[in-house]
Amino acid sequence: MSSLQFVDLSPTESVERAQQAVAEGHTDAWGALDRHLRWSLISHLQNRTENQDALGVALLQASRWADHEEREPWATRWAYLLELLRDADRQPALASELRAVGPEGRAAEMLRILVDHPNPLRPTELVERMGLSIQQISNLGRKLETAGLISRRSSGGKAIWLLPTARGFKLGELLPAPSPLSKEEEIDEAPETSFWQKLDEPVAKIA
Amino acid sequence: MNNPPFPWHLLEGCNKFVLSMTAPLHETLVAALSGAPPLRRLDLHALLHRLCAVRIVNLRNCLREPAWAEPLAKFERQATLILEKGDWRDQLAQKILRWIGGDDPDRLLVFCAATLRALDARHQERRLDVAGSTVSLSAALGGGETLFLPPPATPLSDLIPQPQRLRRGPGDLKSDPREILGLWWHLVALEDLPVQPRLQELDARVSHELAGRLKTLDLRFALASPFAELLYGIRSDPARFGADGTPYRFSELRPESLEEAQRNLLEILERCSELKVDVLCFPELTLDTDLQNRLVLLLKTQDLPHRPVLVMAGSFHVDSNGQWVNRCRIFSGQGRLLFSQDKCVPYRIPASQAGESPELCALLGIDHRGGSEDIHLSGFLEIVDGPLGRLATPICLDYCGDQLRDLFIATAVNLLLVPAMTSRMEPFQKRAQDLGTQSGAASFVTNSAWLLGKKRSDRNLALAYLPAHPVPVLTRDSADPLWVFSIRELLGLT
Repeated sequence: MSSLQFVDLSPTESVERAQQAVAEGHTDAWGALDRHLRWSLISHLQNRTENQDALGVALLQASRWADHEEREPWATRWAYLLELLRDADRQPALASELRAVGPEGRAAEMLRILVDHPNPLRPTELVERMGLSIQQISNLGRKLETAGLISRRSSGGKAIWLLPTARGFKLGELLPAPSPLSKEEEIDEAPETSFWQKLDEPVAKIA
Repeated sequence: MNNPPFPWHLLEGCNKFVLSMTAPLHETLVAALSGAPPLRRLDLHALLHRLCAVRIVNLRNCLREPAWAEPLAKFERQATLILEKGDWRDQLAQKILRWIGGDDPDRLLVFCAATLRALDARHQERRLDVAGSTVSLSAALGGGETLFLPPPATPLSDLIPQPQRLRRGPGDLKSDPREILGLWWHLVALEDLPVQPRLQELDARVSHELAGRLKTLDLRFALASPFAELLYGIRSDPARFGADGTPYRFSELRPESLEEAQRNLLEILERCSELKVDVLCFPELTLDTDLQNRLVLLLKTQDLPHRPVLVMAGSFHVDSNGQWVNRCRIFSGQGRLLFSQDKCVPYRIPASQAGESPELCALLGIDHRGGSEDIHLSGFLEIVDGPLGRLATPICLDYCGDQLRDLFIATAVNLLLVPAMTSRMEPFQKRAQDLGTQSGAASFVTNSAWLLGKKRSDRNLALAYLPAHPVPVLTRDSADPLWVFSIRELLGLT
């Protein structure tokens, strides 16, 4: 077993450290770097929390280095990991979707309503059901649409219907059922909304 | 819980019709859903796209009616759910059966459109699995082969400020299911194409580097045509004179020119490094095999502070398994071969043109009766997806001629790096504008016009076009064989 490890280093730091180690004659640094890069990639795929750009830079540096040193299988393997990273960027991920809706938030509630209702709904119907403004519904709709969880369908740019995508249905079924707003929650929310809206106004106007 | 199996016996006879794209819709659908081997979702996607395409006028008229918008959204929701079930074929057939007897024939067409939208979204989620795949439909379903292409990245168009973007987009010029239904996938019918598109992904390392450079919100291109003083060996074969005249081909850079060519090449690379060039392009029939090997060696070993990410190394006549081809090669900045494109369209010099250009005839070794490029033609257009968009590198006539024009549009190619050898740049200018309007494509042409005359020509060495208004097609007439510009400079933003 190798004693060399890059645990807790960032991917780019680990590449630099491996290069130093190899220069000092520690050939087991190749294997240690491979373990660390693979762990970083898997962690990114599962959680989407790793800094993707930094991981990409590290994989690029590592594969170039291995290429230059003519070290296989590392050159091929790390180029392949970079390919997987690129592919992951194009594939929907539950972790990102959950982050996009925020399981307890209003976007989650809106998704759940759309999943539960037997027909597509218009934004005005959601305004009534959720007690939000049309602008808020529009913002939530955009958020869910960007995450690939709902589709917006319009007719000649006038009426719009919102409906879940297949992934939206799957995620919506995992979310808690929406409960009607209590009076207290409605009262609590009103000043918060106006507070956030005021942040967009010029300072003098607020004063 | 799944529904009970669909009672196919009720429709006995329906699926025995000889079907075509213009057969009644329900007959085609029933035959498709009940056929053996069982239809896959991807097959249904391709079939519905074709069915909607042949009825596109009818469909467009339906969708203009506000009354259809709500049923369309409802059907799509239902189809989205049905397509996730194990017995999706039976469940779809139930829906069709319900509407066969209806008094409104458009209802089934709208249902097809809604199902197509649901399939489009479903397969978008499976993009990695679906992109670049082809589906063959059985003869009973009208036959045909369909290629699934995702939409390309559009970084160059995205750099164009909103007021400068072309007002007229591709959607205004087309009437196809993708535009009318707002679909994500580009579906290309392959069966009648003499040249087949072949999709591949750009090397991940090159992609990552290009994506990094794009973050500067600019990109530097260099169009280099540096070998005007060099001499090339050209072999003609009068013994094989035929209907297309005398065949000829470029054989190599003459040995006495090799040293100067290598010097020019190094100078170009050093200037590109100094000017921080990202994409470097050379013209047609200039870098022979020796010179390309030299280029690769320089890219691999030369200590350059900055190197291009992508090098389109022009083209040359090369031996490919015993046949001569006109081949364009594309390398990474580290000298790795990324892909190559062979010429697809035959180039002929007709007798009328040959008669007017005795100088050209002497150069190519042909006579006044004309000549033709002595090459084996490719049947494939390589299209390469990467962070710069969907790249193709058609050679000269493949770009400015009409033969591949529709294929570029159908496959949504939006970045064209073109090696050319021409004395007339006008057809290239027109094609650049045409593809810019149709597909939002950017075109960069590097020309070796000087090969066509004894005297050195500084005219028409390069062309650059961005799909922006009012940026014209820019051409380069200059004694400097290297034209370096950034996208922002082309747009007049710096």
